[in-house]
Amino acid sequence: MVMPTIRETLAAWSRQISERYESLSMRLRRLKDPAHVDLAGRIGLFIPATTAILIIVLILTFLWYESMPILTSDVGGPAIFLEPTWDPNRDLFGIGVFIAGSLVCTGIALGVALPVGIGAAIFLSEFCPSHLRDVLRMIIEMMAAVPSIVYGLWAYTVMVPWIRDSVYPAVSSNPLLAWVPFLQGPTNGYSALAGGLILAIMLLPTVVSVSDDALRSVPRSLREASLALGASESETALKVVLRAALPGVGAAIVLSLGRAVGETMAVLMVTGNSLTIPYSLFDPCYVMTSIITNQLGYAFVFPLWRSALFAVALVLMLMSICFTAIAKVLIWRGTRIGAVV
Amino acid sequence: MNRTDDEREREGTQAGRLWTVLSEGGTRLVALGGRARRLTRREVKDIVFKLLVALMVLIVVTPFFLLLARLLSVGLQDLVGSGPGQGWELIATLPGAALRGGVLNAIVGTTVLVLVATAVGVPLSVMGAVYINEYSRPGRVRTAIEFGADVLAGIPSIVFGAFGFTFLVAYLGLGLGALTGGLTLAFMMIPTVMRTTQEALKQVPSSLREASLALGATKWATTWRVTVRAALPGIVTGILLAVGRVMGETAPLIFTTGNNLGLPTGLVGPESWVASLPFTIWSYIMDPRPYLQVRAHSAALVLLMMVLIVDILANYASRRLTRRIV
Amino acid sequence: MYEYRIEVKDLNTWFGEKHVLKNITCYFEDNSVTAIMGPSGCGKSTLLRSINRLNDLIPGFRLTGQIFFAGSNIYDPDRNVYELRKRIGMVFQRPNPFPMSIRENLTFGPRLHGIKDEDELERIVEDSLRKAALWDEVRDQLDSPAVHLSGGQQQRLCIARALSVDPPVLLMDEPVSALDPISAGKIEDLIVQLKKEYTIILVTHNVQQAFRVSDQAAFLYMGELVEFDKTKRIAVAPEDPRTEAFITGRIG
Repeated sequence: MVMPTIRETLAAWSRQISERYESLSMRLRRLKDPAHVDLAGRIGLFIPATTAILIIVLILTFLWYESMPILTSDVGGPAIFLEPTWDPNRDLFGIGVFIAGSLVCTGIALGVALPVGIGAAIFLSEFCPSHLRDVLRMIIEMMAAVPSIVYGLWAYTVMVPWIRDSVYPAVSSNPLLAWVPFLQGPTNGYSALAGGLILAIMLLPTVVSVSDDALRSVPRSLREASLALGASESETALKVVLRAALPGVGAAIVLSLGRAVGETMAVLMVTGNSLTIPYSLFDPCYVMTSIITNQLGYAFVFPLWRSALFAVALVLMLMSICFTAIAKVLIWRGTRIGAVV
Repeated sequence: MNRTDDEREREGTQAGRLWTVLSEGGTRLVALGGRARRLTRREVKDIVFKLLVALMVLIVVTPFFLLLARLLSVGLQDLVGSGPGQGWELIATLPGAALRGGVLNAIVGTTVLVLVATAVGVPLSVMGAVYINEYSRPGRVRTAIEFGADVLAGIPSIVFGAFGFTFLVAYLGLGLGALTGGLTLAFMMIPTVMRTTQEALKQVPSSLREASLALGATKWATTWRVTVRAALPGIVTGILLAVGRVMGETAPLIFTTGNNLGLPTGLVGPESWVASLPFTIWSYIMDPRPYLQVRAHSAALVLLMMVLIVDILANYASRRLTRRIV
Repeated sequence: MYEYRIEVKDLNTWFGEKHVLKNITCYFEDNSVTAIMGPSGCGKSTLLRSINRLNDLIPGFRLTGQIFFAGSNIYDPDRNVYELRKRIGMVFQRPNPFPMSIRENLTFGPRLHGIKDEDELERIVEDSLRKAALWDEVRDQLDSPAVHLSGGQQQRLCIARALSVDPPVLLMDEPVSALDPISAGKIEDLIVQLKKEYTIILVTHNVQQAFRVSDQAAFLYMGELVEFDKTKRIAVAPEDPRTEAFITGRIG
């Protein structure tokens, strides 16, 4: 038996090392392999992609956690969603009054914004000369960009005095209108009407531009088919184009509904923030977003009070999720029946 | 001989008489254009409907001009005046004693908040959009992420404010200030940037990707060097639109930024408290001092200008995008 | 005899500066099929759409000359366009059913023109569908969305829709070019059937189809009416070299 020489041993070692190194470098090279980069990219990008969902889950968790104390307490409980009295000093946390206020303001806003907005969109997409259309679309897009605090400022300094000094006197002195129950005064201008109107003004740009897009994506051939049957241009616009675009327009309406309920600053400044349910357009009211804005700062150190405010936020959050889901379903069903979205 | 259904119907009914009057009025109008025939009921309806929807457009755009007129008529005395906080001093000085100075603190505060929000929100949303559009197949995951972004876009701003307050300020212990406010705004930016980036990526023709892959480029390199680059103007538009939107947000900041009559000097703690234009406008308008009421209008003008400039830039970027790709 | 005869006299049209149709003079007989042939861009669709004034809505469209329908000029400023279009039906290149149910597609036109009686509408639905040879295929699904039908069925529905307002004239703008051969064949058969009751003007760039179904033919080239005669004559002995070139497939 012959002992290996030192040289042979060294050679064997170096061969082993180099083999090892080669397999390592091959492995490294394989890491650089396109498939691996793609896998890394896929995983690395998946995490940011989930941010949106993560934030929603976090918001829901924290709102739930924060509103638990009032929903499980003796003085609160789930009944607070229907109770109309809000007086934290007496442990009365009825947030029904805010839900009612939000409903009234949103109702007024949609009642104004829908007919006007869809009519304006029909004009823009069907009858408007193209130069004028470009100008109008630009103005409407600018209107959508105006911050809500600026609308609020205008509503606070112009619209509220206008309602107090012009609208209400005109209504109350008109014998045809003065007896109508939901037009009773008196008013100092801060009213559900003011909140609803400024909301309508803020919603209109979105309603108009989304509806206009939906109407314009209806193929020309449908319009021509209708005209060739002897329909007038306005009959075509209403019965064919608007109808074909209805799912898209419907989605726009639901989304604007969500925005109306969630709008904060402008409404806060003009509704008068009175803790009563409005029975007349000229009555003041208090909406959900306003109560959070006005009281969260003070309520911070009172667990139940704070918790009740977070319960309001939870309602807002759940409503907005519902509106988005409804809009999605509308679009999905629309594509299924062959309408244009 | 050619009595139409229209005419027969019109002569019979009560409402028909109204239509006769209307159509005769319409006929006289149109007669100026050389016609002699009495318009049918449907032709009159057509004209009335068109006038009605034109009127609605007028109703939609009127408030914008009323608003501009109000801001200019009240705010202009601040812009052209030469007292303390007027003219250039409006945007170049701090409020100072009795808030008589300018709104520099608010302008700087809004800028800082927007920068923080952009630095956090944009990378997350662009990467997310790249994942959805380039790496994921249509299916449940993609639907869920898109739905998440849409839900996030619909959440009321005050809910973001309350969430920022309970999660960032209280739970994570970040305290009030520029960082917390900026993060809250970043949450609000994500859906806008994500969806517009996705739209922009969708518009990049797949032949461009295939050309790059055919040259042996990896998916990663193709995505970032070819696809994202081609979509860049659209992405920039999305970012600018989102910036314009969060710039004017008030409600998320009330419980997250604190307020500051000077300039912020740190990123955490009380030194990082910042003012913002929307918040400043709100607190000035609620202040009974007359000169602050005026200052609220001029500050609103400043904010409006900033937002509109960003909006115009956004439009400019996207027009170029569509022109280049179509 | 020629109650619904359409006569085109010295027709010139422009889109903006572009002179699309040049001095067209021709006529279309009752109860016959006239094919308008020509390579794409020759103005054949423009001619067709001038007959029911559908071009009026396109910005920049101008027209001189006259088109007579049942004895009166359709471009008379006093003309009631809705009545005119009711009496001149049209079928388009691609099937374009309204996104409504099959039934609503067919009652849309009659309702516009004042028919409210449900029984009457029901009768119109069945009649139009029978005439378009679609009744047997869809009689059980009248309330399902029209877009769920196949392409060929959709096109026959569009023909039924055009027939629903009972027009004496039917304009067809390349009605089979977007369909598969079998559906196309069905529609060609249908055209031959419909000829018995209607005046049909058919635009096509398919020469074989024009020869199969038409009684007379017009050949348009670069906005000019090159040849206009009985189809049989043109098929056998084209007078103009351009017509011959088109028929033999050298242009177009």
